[in-house]
Amino acid sequence: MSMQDTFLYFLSMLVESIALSCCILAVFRDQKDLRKRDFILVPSVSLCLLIARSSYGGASPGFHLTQGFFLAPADNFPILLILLMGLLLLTSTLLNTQNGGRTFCGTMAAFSLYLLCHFCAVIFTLFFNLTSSGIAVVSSVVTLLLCIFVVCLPWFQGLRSALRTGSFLVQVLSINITLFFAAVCACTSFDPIRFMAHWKFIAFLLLPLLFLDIVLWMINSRQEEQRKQIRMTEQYVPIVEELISQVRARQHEFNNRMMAIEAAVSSAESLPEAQEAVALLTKGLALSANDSMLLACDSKIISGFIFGKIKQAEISGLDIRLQISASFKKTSIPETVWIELIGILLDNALEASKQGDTIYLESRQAENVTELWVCNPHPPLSGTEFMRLFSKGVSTKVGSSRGYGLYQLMRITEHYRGKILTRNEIRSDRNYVVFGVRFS
Amino acid sequence: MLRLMKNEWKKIWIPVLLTLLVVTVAACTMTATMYPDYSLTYTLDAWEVGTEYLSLLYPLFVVLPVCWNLHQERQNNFLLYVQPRVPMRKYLWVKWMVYAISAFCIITIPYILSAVTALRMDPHLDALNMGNRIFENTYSEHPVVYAVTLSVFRGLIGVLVMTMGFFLAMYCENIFVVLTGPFLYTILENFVLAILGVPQYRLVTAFDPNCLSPEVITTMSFVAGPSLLAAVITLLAIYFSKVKKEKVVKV
Repeated sequence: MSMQDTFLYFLSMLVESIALSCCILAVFRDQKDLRKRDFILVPSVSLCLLIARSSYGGASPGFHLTQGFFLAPADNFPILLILLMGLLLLTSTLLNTQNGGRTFCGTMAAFSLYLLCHFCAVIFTLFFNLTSSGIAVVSSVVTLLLCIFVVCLPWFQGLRSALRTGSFLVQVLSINITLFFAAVCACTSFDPIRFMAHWKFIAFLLLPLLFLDIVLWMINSRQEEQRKQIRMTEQYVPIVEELISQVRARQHEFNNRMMAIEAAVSSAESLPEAQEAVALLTKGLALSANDSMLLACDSKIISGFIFGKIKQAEISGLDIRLQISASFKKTSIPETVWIELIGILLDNALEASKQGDTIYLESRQAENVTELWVCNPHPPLSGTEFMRLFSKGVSTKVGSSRGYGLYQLMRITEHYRGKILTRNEIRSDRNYVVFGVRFS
Repeated sequence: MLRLMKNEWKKIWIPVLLTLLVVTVAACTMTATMYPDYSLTYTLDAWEVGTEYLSLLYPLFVVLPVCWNLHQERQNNFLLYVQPRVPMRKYLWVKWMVYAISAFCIITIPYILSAVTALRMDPHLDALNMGNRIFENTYSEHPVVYAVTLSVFRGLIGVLVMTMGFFLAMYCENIFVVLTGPFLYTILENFVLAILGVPQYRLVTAFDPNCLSPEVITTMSFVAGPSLLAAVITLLAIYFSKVKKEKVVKV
């Protein structure tokens, strides 16, 4: 290999390492989070690529860079594996990512993105009549430009946040696509011309892989929902069971009172005397309206959750009054989602109310339409003000991490094709703001 | 001691047996299928051809199935609860012994079984590469002795590589450093010593002495690589325990 070729291969390797570092940094860091220390990644990745493309001995003795251009920054599968491991080690140590799963999936996502750009760039350069070293240099520059273009696209932010929140679909896709590309490289001997000869078959193979990923994602979503349901059952059912046991404990008292009423009625000489005795004996016997509502509610999890919120409100000197007539179990919305919605609405109302205020939680069901709303005392709001409150980060309260509750409520409602209810209402000569949801 | 070893074995037996099974099947299959593309001088050549990938990836096979366990025990503070029951030094020693036996088996058994597979085949032989290997007499006259001896020696190197992973697991928080560190060490050591012009002292050369021409192979070739690795392990242990003052059990 001539000196000029060696220089060109070295240059292409350097540009490729910048492109790969760019992908890794874009996956792991926001622009504002970037630190000077993160840029150590570039020389470190360069070293990895240098090791991947170097060889010792062979036709010419001593150390040299491998000739030719390849679909990946390596020319065989074990070297590609070594490169991947080196990258994993670099991202976990240099970028100081604590979560092992996130590091793994993030590196895979960055590498698959880089490979995709590199594939496109190599195929693009094949259409020009260039020498082997020329293709290596041009493809690396095109790869870099493509990588920069992709990471600047708005959807890339979504990918980054999905990886950060541990989205199962993105994680599985990242790992699968990297493995798929690695397998394609191995089967085509890292030769772009062979790849071009079989690209239709490769594209055909990609479809069942994507289908498999979607099936896996659906299974995972269902399992996640079940896990959430079990968690909530474990958390809230004991609360409502305590309420039931309190009512059962009073059963003995009810029996005694019934016997006393029977005795009072039979021993009374006149009707007014009997009425007076019965009124005296039934005093304080009835269940509170809230307890009756909670016991009548068809979902124990939701009852337990609301009971907990009522107790929380009592500590803050607030009163919650319930009027629940809807059946939560008969709706298409899972109980866990109802809990999220009720939680957002009640938390907002509790935070906006002052000591001694009364908050109303009401629900209604008619002709397959279920409505749930929460009213709390507040000066009247206009339609525009109501709408503004559902924007991300907008809140009537002071604080930086506020304004996400109603935004989340709106997203959930949109997801289940529901509607948001907002209005002003006069109750006991006071204005109440009403926030609620309607699902059909 | 035996009870402790049994306890440790219970923690890792599934990944160890799974790795052993996968590696054995892969080595035997590759030995039985890859040789037609090569020109063979001796029957055992098929064994060398078929176990080429195993010789490259062996640091992963000896570290991955066992060292995760020590790392996990440190991360979830299990060692904290072990400390009042068993002296930590004894506990770690027992753990290392179980890991070492596992690593030794993971390397030795697949190599021996794939050698047996190679010896049971009847490939077409030619005399193209005669006189181009070390211990050629034993290799041609007593292939079983050669294969078993080399496999056992490779098993010992595997134990040494696993020990590096063990020490990393004792002191490092980063799971990737623990699991891929020894593998990347072998790659880097190979790369650096090749650049320095002393490829005969690489760990790879000790593991597979026929990767270089027999003229450059000396007794030192079998000792230098493992000794360098042992020195690196010692330095790592000193660095983590004395310089960085890392503790195996963090309270």
